[in-house]
Amino acid sequence: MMNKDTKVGGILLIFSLINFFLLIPLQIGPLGSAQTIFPLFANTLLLLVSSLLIWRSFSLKEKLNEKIFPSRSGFNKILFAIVITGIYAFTMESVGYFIMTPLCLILGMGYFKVLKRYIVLVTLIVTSGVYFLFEVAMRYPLPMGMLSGIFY
Amino acid sequence: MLASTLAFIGSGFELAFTIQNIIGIVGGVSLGMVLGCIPGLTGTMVIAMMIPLTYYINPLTAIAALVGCYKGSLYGGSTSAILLNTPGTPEASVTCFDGYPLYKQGKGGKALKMALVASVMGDSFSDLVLLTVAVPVAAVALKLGPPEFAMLVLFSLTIVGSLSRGSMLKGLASGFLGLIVAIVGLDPILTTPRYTFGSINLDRGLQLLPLLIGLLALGEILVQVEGIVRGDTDRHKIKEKLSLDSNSENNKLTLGEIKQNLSVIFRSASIGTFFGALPGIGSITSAFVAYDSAKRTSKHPEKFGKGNLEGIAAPEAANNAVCGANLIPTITLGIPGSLSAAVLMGAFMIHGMMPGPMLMQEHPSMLYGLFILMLLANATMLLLGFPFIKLARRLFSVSKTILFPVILILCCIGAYGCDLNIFDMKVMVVFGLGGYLMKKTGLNPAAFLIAFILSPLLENSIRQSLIMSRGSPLIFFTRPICVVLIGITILSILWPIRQYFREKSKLKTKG
Repeated sequence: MMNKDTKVGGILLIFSLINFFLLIPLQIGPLGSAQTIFPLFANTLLLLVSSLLIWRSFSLKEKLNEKIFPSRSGFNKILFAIVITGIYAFTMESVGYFIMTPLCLILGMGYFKVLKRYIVLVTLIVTSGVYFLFEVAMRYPLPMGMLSGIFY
Repeated sequence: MLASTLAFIGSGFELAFTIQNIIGIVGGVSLGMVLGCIPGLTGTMVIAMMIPLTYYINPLTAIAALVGCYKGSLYGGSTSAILLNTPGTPEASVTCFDGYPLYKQGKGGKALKMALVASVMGDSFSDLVLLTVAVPVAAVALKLGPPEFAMLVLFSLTIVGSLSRGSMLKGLASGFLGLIVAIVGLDPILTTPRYTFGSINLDRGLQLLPLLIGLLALGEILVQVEGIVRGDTDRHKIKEKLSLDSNSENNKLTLGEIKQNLSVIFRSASIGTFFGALPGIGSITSAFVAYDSAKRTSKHPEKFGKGNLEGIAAPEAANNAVCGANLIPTITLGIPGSLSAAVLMGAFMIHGMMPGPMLMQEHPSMLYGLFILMLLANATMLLLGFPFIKLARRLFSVSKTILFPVILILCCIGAYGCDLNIFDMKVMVVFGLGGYLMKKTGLNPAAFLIAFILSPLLENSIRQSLIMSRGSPLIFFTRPICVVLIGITILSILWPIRQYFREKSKLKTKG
């Protein structure tokens, strides 16, 4: 079983190799040209350090059973938080602030079993508070999505 | 130089004392204290989330408010350390050693007052050092050319990576990864796209604020979400009534007690200022070193850990002293030595100012105005700190189950506010996940962020040096300052390796 450092070092090493052989020539320019000097320099440093990390992890024989990720219930909570934030960020433009914000707050607090009266209160305060602070006081136009006809 | 410095201090006073700045400072300090005392919200996380609120404020007020917020959060963190034995910020963890035992003895008010006085004194000491040394250091820095700057940045990166908590190699790897991620966008000299994959949004590069909020705020929340118990309101922690009767003799801090602790406070403030000015050593290390130093020099070392005022004065003075000292390399060289300094440097950049030796030349009055406002923030902390103690009790009962969903929404809106672009919100989510994974795998988000900020400076310095030398890398080995910097960079890498092998051989001989 690989320990944590071997996995981390391995991922970084693979990334630096992909970067060297694929990303730098395709995304930056031909190897050796002026614009590739710095990316090559940074990539070489990463390659060296990740190789050292792998070498050192093999020399340390303890810590074989270190867990990177938490228990199943902990993992579910994190997955939920990521999914909620992801949905919020990726659908905000099309659906709009006034639908997505209360929805995500209700789902978020509901998942953590917050009392219903607190959910209603916090959702109302945060949704209207952020709107007044950003849209009214600081004049940031928040994305209204489906409700854009009503608000603009 | 002295006459011009005095003139700048004078104009700094004129700039600093406006109603807008004073409101900014009072607001920043208050918000920092309130948010800092909530366990789970760190000082850097608080300022990262505050930055979007300062976009439309003038730069001096905005940065002063953010510095005030950071200072306030450090004190707020010690409040929960003393009353709940749960440090609100990691910096306050040493304060628990003697703060909580004092609270258990019914002297919580005395402990909080000592923490406040020591924090303010430590902070003021380092702010005065910053005020004194900023001009000479910036003057020296102006004489450095691109090769020296390149080596200086490289030295800072290696020292941040190698001195950071955890594995040195992982710290360095995080830093080098940060250098690569910062390349995304247009080439600074040739303006050709790099790592953009044809996306117009990536042409302008990855913006600092979404990355900062993602790594520091969202990443931290995800780590903490793991430990939340569903349906838990955290109220069980404060079942017992917090007794902080300010009229009680036990809770009064006398002038004699402050005098007794003055030497500890100033020694610890010096330790904090020294460590704060060096890259890579944060306030946590300073607090531990100051506590240890106070214990070793105390007449009653046996009382440490059982409720000794010196045990509160030392870490509080040291960790607050780091705040001003951190800004010495940040403002004068453009090199943030710690995570909080990197966040503050980000705030400078977002407000259109690039920290570095030129900042001292271009905006001297504004910088002196900022230093004066930092001193004003300390006085504000002293004034607001005492009434805040009563409010703190209510804040401890804020439940993470309510707080975290709200913070997730604020992170998204804050990232969007950077450029009013939904793409930044998506970048924030991606880096939030990245920050979480970095923490779980032992990589260092602080080193990553500092490298991300320093990457353009390093790239420009290297390429300018190579243009100067017509492509010869020997330019880095023929200039005396460069050679010295290369030497200490190699030493900064070799020293922890030597320590590692020494410890390993010691263990072998023991085992």
